Amino acid sequence: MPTVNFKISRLRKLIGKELSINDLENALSSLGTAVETIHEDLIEVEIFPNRPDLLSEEGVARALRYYLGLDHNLKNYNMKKGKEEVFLSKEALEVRPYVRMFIARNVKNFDFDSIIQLQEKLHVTHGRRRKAVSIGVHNLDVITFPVYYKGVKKNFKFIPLGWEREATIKEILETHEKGIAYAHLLENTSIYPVWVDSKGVVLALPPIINGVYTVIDEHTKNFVVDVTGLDEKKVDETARILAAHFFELTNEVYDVKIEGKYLMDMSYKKKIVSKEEVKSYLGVEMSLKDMLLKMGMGYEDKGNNFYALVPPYRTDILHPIDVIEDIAIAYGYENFDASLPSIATIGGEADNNKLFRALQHIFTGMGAIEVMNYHLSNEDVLFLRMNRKPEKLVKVEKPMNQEYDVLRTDLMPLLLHNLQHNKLHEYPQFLFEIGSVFKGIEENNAFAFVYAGKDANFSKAKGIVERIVKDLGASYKIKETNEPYFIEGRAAFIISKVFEGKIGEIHPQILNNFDLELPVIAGEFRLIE
Amino acid sequence: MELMLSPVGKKIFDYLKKHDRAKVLDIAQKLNIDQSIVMRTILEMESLDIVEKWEQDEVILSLTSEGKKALKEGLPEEQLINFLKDHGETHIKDLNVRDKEIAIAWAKSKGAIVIDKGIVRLIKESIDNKEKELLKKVKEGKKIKEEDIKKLKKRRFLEVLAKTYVYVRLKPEMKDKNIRIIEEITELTPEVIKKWKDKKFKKFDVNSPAQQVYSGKQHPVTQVIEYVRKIWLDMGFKEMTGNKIVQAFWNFDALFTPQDHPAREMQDTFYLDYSAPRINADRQIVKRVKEMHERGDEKSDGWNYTWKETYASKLLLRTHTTVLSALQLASLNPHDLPAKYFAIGKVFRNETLDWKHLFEFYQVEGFVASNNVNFKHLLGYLKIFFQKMGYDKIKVRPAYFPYTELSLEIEVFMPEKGWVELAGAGMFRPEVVKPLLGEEVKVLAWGLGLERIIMNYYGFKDVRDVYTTDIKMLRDLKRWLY
Repeated sequence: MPTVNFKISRLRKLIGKELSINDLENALSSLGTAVETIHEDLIEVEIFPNRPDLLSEEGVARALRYYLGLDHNLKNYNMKKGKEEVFLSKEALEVRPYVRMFIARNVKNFDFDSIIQLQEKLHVTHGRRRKAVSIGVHNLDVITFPVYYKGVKKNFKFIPLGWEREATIKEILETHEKGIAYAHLLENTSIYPVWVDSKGVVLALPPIINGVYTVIDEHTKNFVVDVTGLDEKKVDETARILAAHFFELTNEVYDVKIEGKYLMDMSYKKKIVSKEEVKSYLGVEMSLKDMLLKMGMGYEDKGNNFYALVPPYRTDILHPIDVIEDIAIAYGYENFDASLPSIATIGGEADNNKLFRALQHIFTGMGAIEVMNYHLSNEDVLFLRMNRKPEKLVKVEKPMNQEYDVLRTDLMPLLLHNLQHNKLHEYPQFLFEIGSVFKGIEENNAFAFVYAGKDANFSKAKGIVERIVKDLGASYKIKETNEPYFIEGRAAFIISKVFEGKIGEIHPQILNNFDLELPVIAGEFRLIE
Repeated sequence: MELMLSPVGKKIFDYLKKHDRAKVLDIAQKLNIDQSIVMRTILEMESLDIVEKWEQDEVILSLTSEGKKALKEGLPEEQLINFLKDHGETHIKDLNVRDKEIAIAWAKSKGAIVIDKGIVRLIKESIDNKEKELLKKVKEGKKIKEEDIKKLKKRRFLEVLAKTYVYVRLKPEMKDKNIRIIEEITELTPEVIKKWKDKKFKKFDVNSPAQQVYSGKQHPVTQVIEYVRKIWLDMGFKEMTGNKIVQAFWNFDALFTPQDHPAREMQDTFYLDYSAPRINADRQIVKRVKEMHERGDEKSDGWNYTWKETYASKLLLRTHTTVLSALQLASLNPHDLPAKYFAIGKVFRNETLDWKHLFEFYQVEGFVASNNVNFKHLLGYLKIFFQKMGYDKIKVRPAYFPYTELSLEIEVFMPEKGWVELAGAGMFRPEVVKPLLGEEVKVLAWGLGLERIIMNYYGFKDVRDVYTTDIKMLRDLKRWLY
């Protein structure tokens, strides 16, 4: 979830009202953008990934103006058709096939930090770490149109942002900080896309880095924004969000003619919604027009239905339900009365709970303590220390915790491991666990126990099983068995109609492996369902 | 002056005369007297100013399996260096050594290797292997410095266990006193019970510590789960259960989460290293889900991309119990409605285990499917649930989840902590419900974690305490009493 930092003083200026910190915090929270921290002039807020249009001070101020009723007019995003042209080469399009470009002139109240933050956060979220979309913001005054989207080779040279000398693309990808970070996005190609102007000035090598020539600073007045990517929808949406951002600072936003066509559409989109549906989802009636205006949307009545006019920067309105949610947010979640529907249903618990609960009560009745181990463990505990070879083992990919990389195949080794951690506590120690175990990807319900103490012997282990079987009203069959972790001749296989499994005295070798110094008996059972 | 002592007191007195100080545990063992009796007697002697006692912690160091391995087979970085010595410079993916990432990280920080475009090159063959000497010392039971303990702990080579012992010693001025043994009856034997007249019974100090009695116990998490289950059953909900290993299809795709959504990435989700079978779902449902992602329907725009079955068939550990709601919706028919279901189950996230994060935790899930429900009812169910959990004050605000719209987050008020975010909820998107159920029906849904509630109840500061396997702690934890 991206968090962004806004300057409170600038937000107030853009909103056009000296909101108190408290009012600002409440308004942001009601919109769904939770305030994380406030430090002097900086407010840190969390923006949900469906609202990339709120990632800049300009965007949030726009939303708040509508939400607080400070702005009653829907803005006309009148994008002018610029004379500037762009030409695309087939080679570059094969690598990064979708492009948009626009120009913003005479920008007022420009804030460098805000545009950089917007660009970075869009890269991470909507841009899927620049894979789907990448953005370049340039100084128009140093660029001579037409601009070309070219495909070049590895030995093509320019000065990348952050360096003071020319370097080949090869060198940039291998040694420039941004090159190293994003080279994988240009992995399987020998052609690299670059934006170059008529005089050979390099604007950018998308999605890696801009050139140093067109860099913007806090005094830049006129801008060129390029957007490229692999996902046309996201490229287009990103360009619209950026254009709407500049529309907050100037009215002179121009679309660039790309191969003879103007690609940007900044009109309001119509989404048809049934009035009845709004009522049935929300359970309250209200003025839909007012609510939509609070969210910066237009309203057009259509009898039983209405059109929501969705502004070009909103990329999250897929379905009428998205409009309905906006209406609910405008109404205020806190203003809905909680109530219950009159629906009669019969409850019921899952069948296997009954047996689990019975086992828990039988074990606790015998004085055992229930433990809950993690479902992930490791080969060492599960197999090596148990003196057996790994089989039917499922590993998780790229675990963050090296000691927890394998799905547990049994519970008994985990319980022995628990005894090891508890070896300084008072004995006897009697533990049990009920839960899932995995043989390959097959999942079974199982239970196990360990008992450590001077009187731990096979007879007691058998007594424990007998207690369980009797309490469950069942009978069992027993026969001698052999396991590498039990003492030979002191282990048995048990089967009853409810479960089957093994009990025995743990072999001293295993006790050594777990650093245990007292005799231990144990049992492990699979439930038969 | 003479001291009057019981026979046990006399034995302890004599023992302490021979020792400067002694552990209570050792006295009990050496004298072969039950520890609780020794303790009781010592407390009496303390109240008579004969002895003094104090508590002292002892630290016990023990090697983890990683530590043992490092000692036996060498540190991971040493193994990496040896590998590079044998094989020359090697690409990262071709390095065949134990704990590769760890080995690389340490070899790098010790200046032994450089990595250039994925090629690992050895630049220094001999490095500082102090860890190994330290491990050896620990194994031999020798003392090591506090900072070295920290270092080994950080590398997960070492576990530190602390135990508190009670020590006792005679007050110096008591050493030369004479003792008179008083024969008082401590334990009632059958003989004493038959002939109890004229006997003198020893008085017990009611303030002295009791003998410890331990009970068998359900794990605190089990106790909470039982309570939560009862809440939903009382409200007429049916329980859902299901496998923890699921296919991405049910965890993500059926929940309208696009295939390039960041939540699906490896760093958040445990994918299994196991070849994926065909998607375990009705082919009609698979087709409907695919179409909804790609093109939407008459009302929805969909996500507009090419949906791939191979991504959806991957096996993973469920990241939320919402999987169970998706499966349940797919198995319901529209004529089964209204339907109310809940589930309580473990979910998994690939997080580093620390005081704030677990990689598996319990989630409580619920949904109500009916065309006669609305947003206010969602708030109604959540309000009642949290009231029954002991939280009267709740606050809701808008949120975002890929599979709900309306979406909201619920914060509850905990007196000690203030507002704490506990649950996410919403109404399932029609793009989720329609492909699974066959038609658009309103579904109220919610999911919440139990751990924060448990931490609040027990006063835990470290989330790992919720799943503690420490017997002492489990023996003494209070019961869940809501």
